Amino acid sequence: MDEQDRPVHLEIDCTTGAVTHTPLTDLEWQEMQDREQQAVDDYTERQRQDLELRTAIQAHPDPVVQELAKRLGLS
Amino acid sequence: MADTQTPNILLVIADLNDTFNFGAHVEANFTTIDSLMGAVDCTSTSRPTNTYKGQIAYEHDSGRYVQNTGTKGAPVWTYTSHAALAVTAASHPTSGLANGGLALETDTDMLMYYNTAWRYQHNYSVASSSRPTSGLTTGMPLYETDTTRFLIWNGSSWVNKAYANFVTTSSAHPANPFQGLEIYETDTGLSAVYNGSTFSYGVQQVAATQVLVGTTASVTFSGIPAVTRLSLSWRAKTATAVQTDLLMQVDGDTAAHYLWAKIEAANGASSPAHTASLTTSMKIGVVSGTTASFFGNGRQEIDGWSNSTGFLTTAGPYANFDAAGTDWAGTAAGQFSAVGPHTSIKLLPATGSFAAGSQFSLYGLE
Repeated sequence: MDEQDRPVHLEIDCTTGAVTHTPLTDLEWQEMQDREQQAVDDYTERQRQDLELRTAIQAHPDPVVQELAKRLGLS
Repeated sequence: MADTQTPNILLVIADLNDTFNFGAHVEANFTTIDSLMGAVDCTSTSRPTNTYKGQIAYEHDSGRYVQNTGTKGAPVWTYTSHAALAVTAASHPTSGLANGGLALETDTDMLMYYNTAWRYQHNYSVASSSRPTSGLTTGMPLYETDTTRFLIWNGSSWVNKAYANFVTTSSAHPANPFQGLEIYETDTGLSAVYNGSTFSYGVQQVAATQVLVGTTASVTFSGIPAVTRLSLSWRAKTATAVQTDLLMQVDGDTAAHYLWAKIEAANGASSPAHTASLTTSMKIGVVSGTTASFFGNGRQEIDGWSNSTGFLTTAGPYANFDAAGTDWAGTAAGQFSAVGPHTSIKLLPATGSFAAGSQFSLYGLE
């Protein structure tokens, strides 16, 4: 990411109305980018697992399972 | 003789030191010279009692000239000079008055004029506890020396006609307020209106709504006044590709002092969750990812803000939609395990930063 993309911490003083922007430190920014990538990876994995589970439930032969899945919003 | 009241001779008496003349009326039998017609020196309480109409006297106690406008047998003394009488607020003259008379209250430095009654001429300066109730005319202004307010007499009461709030502090509300008086507290940033018995604060925004113009890692409201409770509204998305939790911290505390619980439906499937033990922040909602035009929003009612005996608690609904058809809707609650009064709130996404266009509003309630 470019330097111009470095996020800031925003603080508003409710008594004076003053607004302060403080750029992230290098360490904060690196850690944030690492967490973002991890979050994307986790999200992708959850989506895959969710799709796999729904597919398996929809294919289950037991009608009770089918009804339960419907009521839980899983199919 | 034309009558017995008009002087008909003039006597001149002279000696080496003084020369004066006076007129007198001589009775038909020339045996009586009846009273004097020149100016007489006296006091306001020792005016001549047997003198002709037109007799002029000088009162050396009041410094004024007075003339008999009555008769010899029943004189009526009327002031003729135009200099202001020196009086006090408690001793306005009540006799010998004529419209146009002037008086100066030496104890209040107020100028008065007489027009069927004594009336004040210019602005009255006094403490709020000593507002005058007599000698007033509709529209007369008054300046209160202790409250620095300007009031107007409306014919029956003193009212505030200034259009600016009364500027004060939370510990120095103006004395003797009247219904409708508006104040602004410089230490809390709060406004209030006097309803006749107390100052009512109402719901008010404690800071301007923050609309982000760039990528923002966190948003902190600091210097929040000690109101009873707060209402936080948010509408946000992240600069990260995916949705993420919205976190809240209080007073800059990043230690394990928080509890949270939520009931939410993700894509229609219920998924309650809570923190099994104290953690480092509260989860209060879900914000959208980067998909254009999609936002998450929610509200938190934060209570115990200024309470010094109980922990801070919060609860509120939220919702979030995503272009991929992933949606969240739920209610989140949290606790900050520390008593008030508190001073700041920090909001941050669990991953990434807030994207431009996200906005946050904070309101105070008493």
